[in-house]
Amino acid sequence: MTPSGRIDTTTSGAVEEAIRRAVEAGARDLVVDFAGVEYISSAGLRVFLLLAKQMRDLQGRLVLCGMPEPVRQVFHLAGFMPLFRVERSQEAALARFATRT
Amino acid sequence: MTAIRLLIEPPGGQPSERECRTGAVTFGRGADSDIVIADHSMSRHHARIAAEEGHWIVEDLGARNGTFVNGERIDGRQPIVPGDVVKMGGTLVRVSGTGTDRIGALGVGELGSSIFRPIAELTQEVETPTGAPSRVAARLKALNDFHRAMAGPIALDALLELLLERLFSALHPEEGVILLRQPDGTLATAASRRLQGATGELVVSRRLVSEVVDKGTAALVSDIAVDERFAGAHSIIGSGIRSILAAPISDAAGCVGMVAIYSRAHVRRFGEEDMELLVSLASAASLRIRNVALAEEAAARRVQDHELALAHDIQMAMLPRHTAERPELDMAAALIPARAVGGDLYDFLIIDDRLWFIVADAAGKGVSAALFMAVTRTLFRAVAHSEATVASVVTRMNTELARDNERQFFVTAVVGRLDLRSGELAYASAGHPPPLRASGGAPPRPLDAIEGGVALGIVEDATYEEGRLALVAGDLLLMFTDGVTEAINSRRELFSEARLYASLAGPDRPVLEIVATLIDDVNAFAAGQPQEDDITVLALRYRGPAITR
Repeated sequence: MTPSGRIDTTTSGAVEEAIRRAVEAGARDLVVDFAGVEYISSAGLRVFLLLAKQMRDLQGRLVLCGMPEPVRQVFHLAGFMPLFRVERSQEAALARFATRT
Repeated sequence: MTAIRLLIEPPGGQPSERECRTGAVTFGRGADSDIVIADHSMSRHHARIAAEEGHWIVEDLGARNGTFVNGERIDGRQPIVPGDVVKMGGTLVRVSGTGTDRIGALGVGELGSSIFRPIAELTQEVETPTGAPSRVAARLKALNDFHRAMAGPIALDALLELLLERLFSALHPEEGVILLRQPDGTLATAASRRLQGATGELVVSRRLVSEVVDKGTAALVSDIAVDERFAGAHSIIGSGIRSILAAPISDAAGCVGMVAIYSRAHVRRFGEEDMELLVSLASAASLRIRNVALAEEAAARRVQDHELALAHDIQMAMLPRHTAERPELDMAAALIPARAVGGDLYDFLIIDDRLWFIVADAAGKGVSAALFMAVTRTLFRAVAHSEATVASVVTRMNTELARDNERQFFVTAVVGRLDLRSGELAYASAGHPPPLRASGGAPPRPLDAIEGGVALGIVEDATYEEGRLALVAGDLLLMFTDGVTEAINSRRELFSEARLYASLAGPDRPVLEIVATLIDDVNAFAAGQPQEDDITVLALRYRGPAITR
């Protein structure tokens, strides 16, 4: 998934809905590429916390990648980095699925 | 004798088919015809098709425009056979055989009639009522009463009730229902009325809705059992309803609903004049319905705004009303919610000469964040009394907030404890910007970040560490939420830490002034741009231990 722009209170509902559809369609290995994300608010963080929790429950895998520095900072300041598998690029994220089956 | 099938093709209308086995069926524009057709070139009683002495005949009933069989005008009556085409005004009736004599096919005596007409045609048409004088009077009275009532102020419910009541007294249905489009786009029953003693479910047929609302046409169904538009519409046929009169409620913005009246006891309960009355009443009501709906929506919004204003007051009342009146301290704080209610919080309490304080920011905005903020405050107050260290207070708060947190709400917080006698400060951060400290006239700088501080509510078994340092007299501590550094202007630039430090720089001032200046600076930067996050600042100056005498 490649969300873009601002993920805040106004837009997080749409992101959550897109993710919900993907998971309902059976997605269990998810890569979220943040390369196009300018800003993420606490409401946006919640969407990915929910997703991580859901993937744990479904025994799926979630990797975040391509985080621009401001986005990484928001995850970092809230102390959430250890809760996610984070890779630099989409390739590295996908490689993670290939090596860990 | 063999049955015949009639394919009726009204001008510009949907063709329909009838099967005749015996008897007679009349055609015309008048509502008392067996087959009522909305065709202006047809007479009220135009022609009949009947079985006579073992043959099918068509008979002209003195129609002004005449009746034609296979292109030739007939005089009186003429036999017809399968393959013939009968023309009545602009309407064609094609005669065909039935192939097999189907058991249970309808005899003509049971034939009903129906009309589906575009509303525009009905409202433009000016026709002298020809019904019985009492019915005409009743219709006029209904129209008159209704218009008069609508001239005054009227609530939506009352308006719909009145519409049904007038329809009942003029047209004598057994049931009536008004559907209105809801904000989510669906149609829902807004009002209904039935005669006393009426039994069975009140039925709203999807078929009828699609005919009336989707196509914007009024519908007169004289006998539903033989109306092909309702073939297979089991719910409404099974309900025992025999005749229906329905009109869309439309205004310039489109179709907003439907009014329908039913009779179970009678076929041909309603006539064409009744349909015109219903259309008149429905269109008179439609504009008012929209206006009233808008007004009621505005009223509902006012109630909601009022509730939010109350919630705002309750939330603001949770914040400390006064700063701590202690000689060792100067305190000042500000909290500006981005909306009526918000997720930011500051609080403090003094326990045994120690000042406990918290600045926190619940994720998201609005009521959910405000509720989470209220829970956080209550927890802080409870836990501060029972735990010995800052780290254990934060750890305990996290455990409580994380328990059964299905929706993954979280709150970032900085919690501190200042020993007012010694100046010893302990602090811990849970995903929150660290406090700033200014000491000895030097510019403020953030306290050392403490490892592992995940925001509260997410990791149930998270533990927190605390930092410690000794404040000296005159030291300033400043806690804030990211609503300060992430305040935006119209170019979506952030206020930023740089501007925060710039605002705090300069000669030493009372804390009240420091907070006021910072808020002024943020407001000046934002220049009226609505903020997306609450803005909270808490400033403390330690003045050293109180001198005891």
